[in-house]
Amino acid sequence: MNRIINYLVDAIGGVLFYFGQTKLRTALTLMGITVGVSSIIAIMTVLETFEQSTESLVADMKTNIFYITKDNPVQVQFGNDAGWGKRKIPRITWDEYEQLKRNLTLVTNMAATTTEEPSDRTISVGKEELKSRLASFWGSDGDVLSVSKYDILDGRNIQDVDIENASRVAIVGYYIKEQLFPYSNPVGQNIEIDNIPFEIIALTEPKGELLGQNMDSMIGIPISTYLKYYGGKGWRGRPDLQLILEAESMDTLEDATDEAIGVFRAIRKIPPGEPNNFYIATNDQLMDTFGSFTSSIKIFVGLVAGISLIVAGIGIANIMLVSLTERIKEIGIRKALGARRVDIFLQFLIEAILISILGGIVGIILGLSFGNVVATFLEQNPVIPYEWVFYSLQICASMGIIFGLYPAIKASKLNPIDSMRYD
Amino acid sequence: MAKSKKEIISIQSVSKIYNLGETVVKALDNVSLSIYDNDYISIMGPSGSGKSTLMNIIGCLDVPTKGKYKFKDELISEMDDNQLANIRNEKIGFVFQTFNLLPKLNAMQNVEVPLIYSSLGRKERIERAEEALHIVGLQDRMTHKPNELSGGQRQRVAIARALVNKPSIILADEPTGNLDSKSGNEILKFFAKLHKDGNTIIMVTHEESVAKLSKRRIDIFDGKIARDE
Ligand SMILES: Nc1ncnc2c1ncn2[C@@H]1O[C@H](COP(=O)(O)OP(=O)(O)OP(=O)(O)O)[C@@H](O)[C@H]1O
Ligand SMILES: [Mg+2]
Repeated sequence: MNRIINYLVDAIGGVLFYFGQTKLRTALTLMGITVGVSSIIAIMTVLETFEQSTESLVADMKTNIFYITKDNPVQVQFGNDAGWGKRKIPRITWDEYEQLKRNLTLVTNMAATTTEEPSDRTISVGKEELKSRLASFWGSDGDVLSVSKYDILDGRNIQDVDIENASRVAIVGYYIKEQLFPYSNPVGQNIEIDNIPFEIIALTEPKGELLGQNMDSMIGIPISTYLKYYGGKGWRGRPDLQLILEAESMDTLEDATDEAIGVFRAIRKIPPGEPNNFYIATNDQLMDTFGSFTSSIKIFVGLVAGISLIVAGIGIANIMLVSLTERIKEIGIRKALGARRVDIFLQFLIEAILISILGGIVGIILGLSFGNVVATFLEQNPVIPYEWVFYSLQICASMGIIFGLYPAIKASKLNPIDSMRYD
Repeated sequence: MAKSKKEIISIQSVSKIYNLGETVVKALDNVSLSIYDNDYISIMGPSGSGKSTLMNIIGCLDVPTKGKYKFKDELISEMDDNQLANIRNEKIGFVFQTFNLLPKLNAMQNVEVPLIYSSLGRKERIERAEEALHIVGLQDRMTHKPNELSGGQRQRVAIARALVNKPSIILADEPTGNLDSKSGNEILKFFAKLHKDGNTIIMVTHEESVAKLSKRRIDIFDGKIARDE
């Protein structure tokens, strides 16, 4: 026991001394571990914050809702889905939406939305133009505000009569007010979208940024208005709609989705046996997709981190071998004074472990800082992925053992006479 | 003369042979030797005659190719690496020509090294290292690193390190070889005192004057003992 404590004290002293002597080399070696560990920790921190916020999102989400879209609603998969391949995927049109609406029996509520993200339309008030690109411009006949969690600061939401009449009314985000109405309340005033005047009926509360998008650079109008003014010629066939459908309850959700698939296939005249040329997804499935997304990110990060850790490990082995040749004389002296093989072996191994754990700790600190900076930036609560901190330390210790093993064995086998003579 | 004394080392027909492919070097050729308690021996001989080889074998740093080596009642020539390390640690104090201190450790820590390998606790280690440094008169140089000490002081730190585990025998391979004559004489006076205090000392030297200070003199020539008196 005494010996082990002696080794530890000695090793810590040795490592610190060694760092002092070879700052640059050690720093470079540590960098490999630090990069590996910090990337693991940073990504895990960000993912954890996401998981937390999506979990709370799920808690809020209605479970009896499903979507029909052209593109995968969670656009996060790597590569193509099987069978999706090179087939041409038609956009979801207003006609299809109306036909669906007429034919579905198990759906209690339905809404269509079209979104330009970002939008290149010119936004102006009098001669004043919005300088930056509008981040989001949407038209909908549903309650986008509550789905996207915007609160109205002043004014009113889009109402059915607006949709029926294709009224030129608009909801604007807080950024629009800041840029174009810095000194007045925009509600009740006019704004021009591609030179078409709209009356602003609502201003939403500031939301900040999410995933790098300015959530307040937003304008929303009734979908009928959107199609009428921006749908272009033959607009009924052109825009790409995302449909939100609501079943009566969780119990009828499955039947309702089945029905929707059947009806939509009939509308599109897809022969039996052919796959769907649209996406249909429930909130549950979206969550699953998100889950598989995060786990594929985790696998990816694992691979990257794994590779950088292996490189780092080779660095450790190298630094230990360099340290070994620099200290052959020391080893010889220690052996001459009574150090056994195991003493030298442990001295080197403990040193390797300490070096890698030190690199790991630096990596964890960097990773946590970076991950949480990103998390705050994305308006998520800061977290510490304890599990991964623990794994990282474990990985570092094992790396020290694995890559320190060979140098340690080599050191332990040195012969005292020859080593003492070495210079 | 010393027949009445207790024998601590017995070397019987020991050879050390280096096989360098074409040539075979007999560094030690059938050497037999007994060393008694409180001996003070100097070993002399031309360069390459095998003095260091003999010292290394006596000091358990090396094993003979042939022959028997008994240290007290233990058969060293049959021991493995770890057993030899333990003997070196507990029974032998080695002083080298080039001091062989660890440059990053201070005097105190250098003296502590053998104690680390005998599993002593920190407190006891410090006590004994202080005591040893006291004996060599370096109590006010304990926190100095080797490069902050003179050659003679370094060698005294090395002697303190050799003494710290209270060895049965002190081996010194040309301990004054790297020192000016003044520092060298101090070291030799020191060995004389250690001998008087009951220690057993074997020393390799090139200088007649140094050899005269010892009580017994062994001359080695071509790996063989040419004179022992
Ligand atoms: N590792 C080795 N391999 C081959 N030959 C060796 C080895 N070590 C020593 N020798 C040879 O053994 C012989 C004795 O060497 P040793 O070092 O014992 O001489 P020495 O008497 O101590 O000489 P010096 O006075 O120069 O220190 C020499 O001829 C030397 O070349
Ligand atoms: Mg020699």
